[in-house]
Amino acid sequence: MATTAEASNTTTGNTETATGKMIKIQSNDGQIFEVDQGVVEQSSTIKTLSDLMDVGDVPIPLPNVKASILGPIVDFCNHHKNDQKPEPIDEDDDDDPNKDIYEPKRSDDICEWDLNFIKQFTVPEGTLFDIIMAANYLGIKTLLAVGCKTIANMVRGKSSTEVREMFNISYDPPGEGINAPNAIEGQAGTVPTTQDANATGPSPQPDPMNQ
Amino acid sequence: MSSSSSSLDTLPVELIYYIFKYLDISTILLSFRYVCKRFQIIVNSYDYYKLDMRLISKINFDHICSRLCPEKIRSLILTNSLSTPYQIRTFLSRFSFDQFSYLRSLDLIKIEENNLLEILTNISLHSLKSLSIHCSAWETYNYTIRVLLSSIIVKSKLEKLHLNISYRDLDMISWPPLPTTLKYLCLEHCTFQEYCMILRHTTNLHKLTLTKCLMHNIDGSIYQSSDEIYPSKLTSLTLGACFMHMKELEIFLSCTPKLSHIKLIIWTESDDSVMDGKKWEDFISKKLPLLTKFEFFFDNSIHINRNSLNIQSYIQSFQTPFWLEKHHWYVTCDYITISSIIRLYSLPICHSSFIYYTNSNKISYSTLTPTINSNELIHQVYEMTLNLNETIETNDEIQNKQFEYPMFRKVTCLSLNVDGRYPYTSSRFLRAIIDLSSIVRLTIHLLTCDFSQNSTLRDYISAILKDTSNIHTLQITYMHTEQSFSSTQHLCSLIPQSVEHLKISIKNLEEIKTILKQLHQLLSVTFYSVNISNFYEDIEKWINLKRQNSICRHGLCSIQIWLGQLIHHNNKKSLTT
Repeated sequence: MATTAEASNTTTGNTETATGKMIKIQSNDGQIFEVDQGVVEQSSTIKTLSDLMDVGDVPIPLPNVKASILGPIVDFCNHHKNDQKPEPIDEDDDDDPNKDIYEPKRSDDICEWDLNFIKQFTVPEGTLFDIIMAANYLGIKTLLAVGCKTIANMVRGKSSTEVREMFNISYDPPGEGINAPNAIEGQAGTVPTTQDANATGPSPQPDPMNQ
Repeated sequence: MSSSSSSLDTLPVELIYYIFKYLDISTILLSFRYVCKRFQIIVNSYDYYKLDMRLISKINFDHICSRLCPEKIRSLILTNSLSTPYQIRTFLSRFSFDQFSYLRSLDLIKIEENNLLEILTNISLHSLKSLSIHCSAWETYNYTIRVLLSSIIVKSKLEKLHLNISYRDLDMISWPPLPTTLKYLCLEHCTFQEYCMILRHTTNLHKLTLTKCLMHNIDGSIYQSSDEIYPSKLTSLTLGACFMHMKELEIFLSCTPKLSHIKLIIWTESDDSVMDGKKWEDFISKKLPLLTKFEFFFDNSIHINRNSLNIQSYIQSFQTPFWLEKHHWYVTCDYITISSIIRLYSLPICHSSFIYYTNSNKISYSTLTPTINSNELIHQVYEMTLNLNETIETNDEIQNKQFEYPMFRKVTCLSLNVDGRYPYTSSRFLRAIIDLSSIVRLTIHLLTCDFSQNSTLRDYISAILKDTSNIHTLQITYMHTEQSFSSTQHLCSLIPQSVEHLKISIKNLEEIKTILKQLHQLLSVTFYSVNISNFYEDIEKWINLKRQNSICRHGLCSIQIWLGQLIHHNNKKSLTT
């Protein structure tokens, strides 16, 4: 049976009148969260569903997200709902005239609140990947960026061995995959979207960053 | 929170690609690719690489060049900076530019004339949206190259163009010289007449930056504009390092009523109405109704006698409801006592390179009252210079206040002068001004002869280097004496492991050997010496024995070395650093 959770302190009481219509969303394990338009606007998925369906008081089902992930996502969106909307810019745009032309652009800029937020999700528990996949499913670009930047910051400059250890990824055993005696060079256009144990890998080469 | 079975190696490929957006190509190609078979296939199929070769090691540069597919590169940045000498030439020896057929963005920094000619001759234009070229001296480039560049730009569908060249130099063969697709343009300078042409013809332009702006034509006359309002979409205008009066600015800015952002770095005269808030208030209200962000830094160009000056009067006109209540635009006015000049600037400070004066060297008034949380004003200052002996102040405001954050949180490039006289500026003072952990480039000028003998100074420099734990580039210059070898040894022992690019003054080959033997982590090094040309050959011979595939470039009283793979002679085995 569905239970109703209070999304966050800011979604109740006076905020309801200030931000207009409240919408209910339901996690795949039946928990219902009530969110305002400020939250809805940040999720392209929820926004599309609420626009398409005249949901009334019926909760919008989100079958790919469980409550333990959806709750923090609602908190994230509540925190960011009053953020100034960034100008739509080209992803290659880097036109700050103050920039140091000799300095590579930093991509690890995560604000302090977001850093603390993302710390509750971990690699060993797999929740860091759950939040990334949920952000992708819900179309919350800012959260997706925070999650992906977190992974990128963990990986940057590390050797393949360190990455394997950090993320508990098993190295292909001798004679298989990356170590296959007859492995062929990469196959563009045949990228699996899920792990495929039978896929053919490229020929083995040393990792220069492992040396 | 309950655990799940999700892991990095089971993430959908589109999310792995999303992570790649935030990763450097070295990590993707040289590490991530080798984690497991699936990642190898994903990396091989990725076709949106952004190749940024700034500060890259020679070893990774070679590895990447041997592995990359040019048609998968979307963005390319090449530079011949001190840290990567002759990089563009080396890159072009391995690739022809016509192979980069899907390039969207190209940045070329300090490119040589013949390399630029080669690139311009072969570049594929069909997907190029952004072009940035920074040359040391355009005026020395021959006419053919400038004509070629001009013809390429006009034929292109560029949306972003950044050149340290004047409009006149660009206007070589075709008119107008800019494509109508352009949304962002940065040029060195143009006259007012040329500015009007830009507005008239680049109708999609949203942002314009002119690092210098000359209102006058070559003959000294000023272009008389009509009252025509241009169909310009320009919303953001930046003028840097210009000399202008208010009268000229009014003409200039009246052409673009849709501006929402203006940034002006201007030299002017202290009695000009450019310093008058009332004048600006009237002008903005009438001509720029959409303006929401107004950044300025006005320096006056003449020395003013303090006795004839009422400094407070400069900020009075900025204390009206228009400035404080409607727009929340605050200003500060400094009178610098040591140079007798006035500067008036908006807050947060928008000048990227700021000279900080402490209270004993300036008289300062601000419209920002103590009730407003100044910690929320994050100054846009990226470079700062401090004289560590002059800035010491026991009763300075900043010494006595404990700020939650440093005043200048965005400074990444710091230059320090130390003359060896005690006492030095306290580290507490430094930390109150700058976030030392954010510094990535540090320059220290030691104006002293006896570094190795001065333990107090050594400890002081050591403490600064410990606090600046994220520097990747360190420049140290000091006065050389007979004891300089000992100083070099001491300095090397202080340099942190994070430093990968070193610029240092030396006296002889022995010092060079000492530095390179002690600092194995270095990726590049520049040695300065007035007589370095006497031992260019010896340096290169020694480098070739120690660092495989290094590249050396001779400069003015310097040699720049992009260091290759370290060779271990003992076991006849070469290792990467």
